[in-house]
Amino acid sequence: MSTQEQTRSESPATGPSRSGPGTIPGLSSRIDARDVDFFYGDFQALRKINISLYDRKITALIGPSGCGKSTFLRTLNRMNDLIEGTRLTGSIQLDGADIYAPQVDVADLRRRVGMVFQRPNPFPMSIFDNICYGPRIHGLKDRKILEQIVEKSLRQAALWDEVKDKLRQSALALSGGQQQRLCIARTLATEPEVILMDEPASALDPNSTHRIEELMEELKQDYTIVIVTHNMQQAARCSDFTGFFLKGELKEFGATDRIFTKPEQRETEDYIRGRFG
Amino acid sequence: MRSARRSPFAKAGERVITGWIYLCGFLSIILVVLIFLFVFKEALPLLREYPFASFFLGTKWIPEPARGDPRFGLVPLLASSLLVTLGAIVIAVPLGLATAVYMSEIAPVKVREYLKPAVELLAAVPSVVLGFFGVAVLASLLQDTLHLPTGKTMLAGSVTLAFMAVPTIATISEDAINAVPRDVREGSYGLGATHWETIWRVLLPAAFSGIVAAVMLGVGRAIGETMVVLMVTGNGVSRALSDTMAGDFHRVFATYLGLCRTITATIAAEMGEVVQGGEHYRALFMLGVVLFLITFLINLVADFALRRAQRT
Amino acid sequence: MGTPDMRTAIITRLRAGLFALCLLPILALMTGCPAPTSPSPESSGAVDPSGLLVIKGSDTLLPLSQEWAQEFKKKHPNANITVTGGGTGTGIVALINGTANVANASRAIKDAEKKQAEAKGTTIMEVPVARDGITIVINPKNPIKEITLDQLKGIYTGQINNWKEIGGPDQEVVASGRDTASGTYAYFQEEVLGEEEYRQDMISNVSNNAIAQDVEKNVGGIGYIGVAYAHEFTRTGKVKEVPVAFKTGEPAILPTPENILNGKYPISRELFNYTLGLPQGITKEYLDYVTSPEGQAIVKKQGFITLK
Repeated sequence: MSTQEQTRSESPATGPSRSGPGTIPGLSSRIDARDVDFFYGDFQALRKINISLYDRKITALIGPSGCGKSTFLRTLNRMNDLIEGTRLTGSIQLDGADIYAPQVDVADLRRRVGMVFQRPNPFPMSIFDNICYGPRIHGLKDRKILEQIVEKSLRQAALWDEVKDKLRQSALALSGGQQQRLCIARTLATEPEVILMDEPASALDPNSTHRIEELMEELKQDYTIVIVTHNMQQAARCSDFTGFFLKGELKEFGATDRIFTKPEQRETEDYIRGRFG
Repeated sequence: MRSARRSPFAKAGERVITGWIYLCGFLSIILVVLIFLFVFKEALPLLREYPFASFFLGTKWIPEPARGDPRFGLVPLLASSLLVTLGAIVIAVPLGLATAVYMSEIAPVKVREYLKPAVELLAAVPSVVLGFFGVAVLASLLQDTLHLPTGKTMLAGSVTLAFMAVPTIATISEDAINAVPRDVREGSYGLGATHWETIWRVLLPAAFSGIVAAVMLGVGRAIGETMVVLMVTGNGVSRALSDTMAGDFHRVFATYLGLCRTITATIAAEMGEVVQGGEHYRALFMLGVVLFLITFLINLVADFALRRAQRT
Repeated sequence: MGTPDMRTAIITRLRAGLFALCLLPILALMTGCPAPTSPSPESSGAVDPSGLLVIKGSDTLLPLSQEWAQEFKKKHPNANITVTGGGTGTGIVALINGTANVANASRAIKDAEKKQAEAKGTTIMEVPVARDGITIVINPKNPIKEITLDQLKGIYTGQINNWKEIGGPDQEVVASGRDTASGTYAYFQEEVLGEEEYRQDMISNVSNNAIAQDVEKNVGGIGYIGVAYAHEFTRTGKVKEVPVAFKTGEPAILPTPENILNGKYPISRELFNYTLGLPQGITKEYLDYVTSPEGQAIVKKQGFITLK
């Protein structure tokens, strides 16, 4: 990242009630959220969130149900725009540019900030067409290149060997774990810079979960990954940084090792020790 | 263990209810078979008196001639029925689908709240009322705008039938589009698709089987309809249709601007005056058999389409 | 796509719909069938004219028949009479099938229909009840002043397709007529078309009213309507009546009562009531009333022509 980015990420957060020490000095950040408030109608779901998400790192967002972690994740690619009656204040910047600025092309933003959902959601079409969906809507028509993208994405998602002989078959015929890896491959095919994962393994069996975690570890080499998870072990196992959300606030943020060994906040410790949530 | 605690009466009651439901289900199948057999039985003797080929290949329907033998030619009736229905599909499917997409994807919640019941209400309008509308408004409108000698045309029939089919197609398609899981929509948006790309490339294909069902139901209502076509199509055979039957196939488009005489309208118009057991009576029942076969065929095609849709 | 649940639901719905759809045309057949449970013809010769009398048939005779029934009921409050239309053919079939006591007819009974009745072991009795002319109506904008029987035949068999062929404007002919159940349809075919077939593209209507509407809407329209009905439409100027001549060169005649009664008007006919066997009981009382001076007065009032 450029020096400009670094200064930006190191610049102290402003605002009256700064919640959470969401920045780590000395690392280059891709996404910076500053004083983010978010409302569903009259209900305030997020309060003054300040956090930075670092390049080629995995950041895990944890917290009890309804704490706002998924909501926050979905603000990063403006997925919440699809819900009527929502409102966001504060700023979220991707590489220094405000993603909520009026001139932003939301479709392009979502191509750059890809998302993998809680439940596998392949489209009702062939495996091949699922992968090609993103490249095609972004204007790619060349058959040869599409075939290359399909193979590359499926290999990256560690699914190629399992499906290479049945690319023409319906994606719905795959198992749940395979479907989720297909969805990851589908996201990779659009060549995003950041990948958001919303509890990607919660609907999967332990074996598939394990494969997804391995996959994340590999993808980390090239991508910035943000994962929302309910599973504390998962967060501890595979993330570099962890943010703890509670009642719409970012209570604590830091290196995963430290959060899980020496949490600064009482609530964080209680949650990690399994006392609530 | 649990069942052991149940009283023998409860068990017997359960068996009675199960049996009753089974019987009801079975009965409906038997009923259809019986009705078909009845229609077939009434129709079959026609072929003893009237040659098979003359019925299926005949191009004139003159059931009560002033002189000579009656002629029961299926071709003009079948052609009319198929062309009217085809016209209705061409009009109704895009319109119905567009309405469905608007209701489920584009209309604000407030508009949708009123629109959907309104469209559903439209589906319940009795066909005779639509027939009145077709004759009083539509036929005159077509006559004036297209400068036709008469507004009672196949086109008027197609448009009126389309009016009948659109609400059915729209509401059921809307259900189908709505039933596409939110995950799938979000998956599409998440990849950077626009609203329109999501509708066109994901929602419509995903709702395909439901849309097929909707179209089949809409078309089914149209093809079985008697009163509307009886009222607005003039119930005659236009020269364009005669020409088409004589082999002049590019006149087929002109048939839409002329009269037509569908199978259902013929049955409805003539059934009241035939003597039971007479040749004309048998011929009308034979028309019933043909209709039965057509709907059966539609059923098969729809089933095939659905099965295919399910596999991909 | 989506969940299997949703698919099953849709397919189930589809199946149900298709099932109903198979039944539709059949229901059309069923409702068209004469209901076999309606009253059987009068057999006992009851003196008191009470009971049920079902009259069915000609649409031309319908308004006249309704008024007869109404007046008859005023005199015999115990009588229960229903009058419906549907066309002469419908009425005669109902009579033979035993679902009507009296058939209104705007044409004479056909041999085939007589045989049907004989096959069932009865004979059909005929009672003339009124005379009627058939008015030829055209659009008020059509300047045609008169028409001959030959020209009418040409128009209704399809040899004449444009009004300019018979001295009118360059305007396509749109011929409207009745459906095959109508006595007027059969009568017109017999008397005017010389038993040739109607043109295939004649608009076939289920009522006189619909014919009048066709002619009103179509500048090139032509239709045939019983005089009593036609009066209603010509009076308001929606359609106009055309004088008819037997041949070219002969005077064209308007369907006035005198012209119909003295036979000058070319297209006139007798209207009949038919019964199975000799009328008895209420049926006899009714027919006696219809042919009485009182009944014939209603004929005149309605615009039909009396028997004498």
